Order: sequence, then C-alpha cells, then structure tokens
Amino acid sequence: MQFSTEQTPSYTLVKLSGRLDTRTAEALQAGLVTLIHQNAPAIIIDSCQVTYLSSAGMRAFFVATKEAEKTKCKIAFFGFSESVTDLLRVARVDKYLKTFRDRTEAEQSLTA
Amino acid sequence: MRTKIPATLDHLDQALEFIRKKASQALKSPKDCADVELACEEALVNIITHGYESARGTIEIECTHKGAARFTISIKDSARPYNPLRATPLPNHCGTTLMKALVDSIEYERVANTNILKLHKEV
Repeated sequence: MQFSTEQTPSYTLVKLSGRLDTRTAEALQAGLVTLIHQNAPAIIIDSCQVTYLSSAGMRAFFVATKEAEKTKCKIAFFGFSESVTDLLRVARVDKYLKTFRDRTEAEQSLTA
Repeated sequence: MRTKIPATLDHLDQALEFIRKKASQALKSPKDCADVELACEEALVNIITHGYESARGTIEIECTHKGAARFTISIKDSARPYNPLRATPLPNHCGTTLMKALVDSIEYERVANTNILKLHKEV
C-alpha cells in the first residue's frame, strides 16, 4: 500500500494505492489519524488505485471517519472500484463513509 | 495440496500466496479467486488474533477441488473453540460478515481440540 498527500488551499488530498489488508491497514489508520490531529480542516481520499480491501482496511476508514467527526474535520472518499464498492456495501461500512464517484463530487461535498 | 504455517501475521502472506495459487488453478473467474483470497484472509486473521491471541500455534490449510463443481479450503487450528458462524459482528469489525458473503457456504466443526473451518466456492 502506498500513501501520499498533497495540500490544496481547502483540503488535504490523500492518494492511496495497492492493497489495504491486515498488514498495511495499521499504517494507513495511523497516517490518517495523524493528519486529522494536525487540524486538517478537510481530507479527501483518492481510492482509485486501491486494488484490494480487507476488513482491516475498512476499519482504518471507519476509525478515521469517527476521529474526524470528533475534530470537525470533513472527510470524503472517491474512486472506489465497483468490486470494492460492493465489499463496502456487503460489510455495511458504506453507511458510515461519505463516498463519491469522483474528485469533483467529493470537493463539492466539502462546501455542502 | 496442503501447507502449514505458524499462526502469526508475519506468515499471512505465505498462506494467502498458497491459496491464491490453488484458487487460480481451480476457479475460472478472477473475481471468484479474489473473493476466496479475501474470505481466507478474514478467516486466518480471526484465528491468529482472536483464536490464538498471543499464544503460539500453527494453522494447516488444505485446498481440494473434488469433481468439477466445488473448490474447498479447509483451515485447521488448535486455538480455543471459535465458531465464526455464530459470532456477532460489531460495527467496525466486519471480517466475519465479509467472509460469509464471499464464499458460497461455510462449515465449522470442533473435533478433538481442533477447529475445522471449511470455505466452499462453487466452480
């Protein structure tokens, strides 16, 4: 799993790629929580290059979302593949995450 | 077609590589292979983290493809009894829910201090 960030004037873009599994989810969760605690006003997570998502990866997303709620940081996801979207639905994690089709929709959600 | 690994997360990739290889030989669809791999990851992580916790142990994995209709992964461990089919999922712990959804059927039995979990995928 690769994790990179890019700062824009209004939010931090986090780009993820590769496998989000039991071995990699802990680092992802720590990275997202650190960003949130650095008082980021908003985070958009680009998941276009995520090829595999296990429950550990979903838990990292869930924990980051709950942590963001505590600090009033807005967090949005976009670009999940069809198969990953299905997995999120099956695991019933989709109802906890704000997911969007593309970056533009995710950006619009920050001002809604 | 079986392998045995120490029950640690450091050996998870080794187990999944074995399963991935056997699944790709038995199943035609890449999606079915991916589903089996993910279901097995969830099962193995449950055994390592909740079954054995910090205790030492091993996990034996056997893949069978009897006839042409069904691919089965049997996972045996000697951890404390744990039937994932009866586990109540928590909101942020969805591994068991995923495991159940990704294969066609699952069997669990406890035989002589051994948990035996069988995941079946129709070919």
